[in-house]
Amino acid sequence: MPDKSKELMMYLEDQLVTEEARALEKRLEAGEHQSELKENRAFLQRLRERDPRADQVDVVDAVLARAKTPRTFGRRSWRLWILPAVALAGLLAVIVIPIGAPEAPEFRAKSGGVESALRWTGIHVYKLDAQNELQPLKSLAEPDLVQKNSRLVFSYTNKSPQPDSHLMIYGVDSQGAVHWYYPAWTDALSDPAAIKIRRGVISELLPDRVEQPLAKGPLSLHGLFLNRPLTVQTVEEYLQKSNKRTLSIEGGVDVLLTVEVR
Amino acid sequence: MISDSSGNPLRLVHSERQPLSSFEDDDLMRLVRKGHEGAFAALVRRHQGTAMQVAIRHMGNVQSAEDVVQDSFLELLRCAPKYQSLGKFKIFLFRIVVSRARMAHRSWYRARLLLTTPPDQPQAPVAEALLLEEEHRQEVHRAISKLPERYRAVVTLRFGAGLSYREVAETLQVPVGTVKSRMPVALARLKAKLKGRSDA
Repeated sequence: MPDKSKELMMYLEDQLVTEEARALEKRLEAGEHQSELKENRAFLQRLRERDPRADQVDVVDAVLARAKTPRTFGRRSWRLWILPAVALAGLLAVIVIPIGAPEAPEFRAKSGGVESALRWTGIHVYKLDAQNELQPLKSLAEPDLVQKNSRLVFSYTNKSPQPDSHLMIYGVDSQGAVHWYYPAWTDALSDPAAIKIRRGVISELLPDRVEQPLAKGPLSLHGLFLNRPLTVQTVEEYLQKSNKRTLSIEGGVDVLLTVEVR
Repeated sequence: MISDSSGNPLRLVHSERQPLSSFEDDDLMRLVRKGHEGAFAALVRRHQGTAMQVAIRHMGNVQSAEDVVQDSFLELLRCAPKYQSLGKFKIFLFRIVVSRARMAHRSWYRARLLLTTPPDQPQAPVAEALLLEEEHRQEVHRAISKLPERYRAVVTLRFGAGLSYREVAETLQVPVGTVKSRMPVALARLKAKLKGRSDA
């Protein structure tokens, strides 16, 4: 390549040293090398042009499928893709958040002890009404009343003869997504542990009103009472392996809230 | 006001998780090292387009480029434990892409494909102007793919991935001066090749 052409090319690539660039610019201002400058500019533009076919290719699924062969991708996944318990819970009575429901018909607790103070271990869930007052969830409304960003408040009862020391509360929505209420988990890089709870209390209110982007449909809420602080990722591993509605963890009690409307 | 058992007002907590698409590459790689499939998918989605632009310039056709890109991301997954979070994910990735493209280019089978594979055909009838545009584009990519390896790499990284000269040098693990001396030679050869074709 003649030096002049090489110089122009590197000028267009912004790779000339300052003195060389200034000298060339003076010549360009004087009208020299115009057609070659234009030609080189067009040439470089051609090299830079994105190929739209390449932009349309999507290799994600193919790569993930190939990656899942044991020798190349043998690690656990944290995400619950399918949770049979949710499908089962969808058939049975689960808590459906009746946001905006004008009346709250009576309910009968099947398990989870929302109403009964005689239960030794349990979680209780409330929603905030229009007056910002706590309303215990006590009805099963039509599924289409479930909305995103509902604010939930929780209390717990921990009054068994051998009360537990820690608690985790999570919900599993109709899409199988796990939403953590306690501990708060907003950063996927962290791995928070179960919260400490008081022993011998009834309906102890927890401090947060939590908004979650819930999928429409049934939501099963779990209170996991533990004698040690498990972490969120550990529990999600258990959830992935478990095909039951509640977890069996040594030293833990999983209380599933289910409600049935009469 | 609603209070908790100690009389403190209840805090409002927005517990919506940050979407993975908003994570930096280094943070996603940290999750990938822990086996986080969603983070890996997010990385693939984010960088597959540019990886394809590099690969198609290396290989000269979409099909081979796609194979290279798939292999590259699988290699990325395998190498994830080696990745150091220093904000240089692109360098790490494109080093793999160039290496994979080189291997594909060298293999006898690929070489035969390059010689015998007809130009990529459009999938549907298109206007003549678009056809011409596509033909010119393919011409450029084929010309690049036939450059000697040391020139091909600098051109594909610079013009396919938009890397700076310093980044190209870092990706190829050569001095910046080497990239600066190879580039004008590569561009001259390309220009001559394409000019020769257009003059014909």
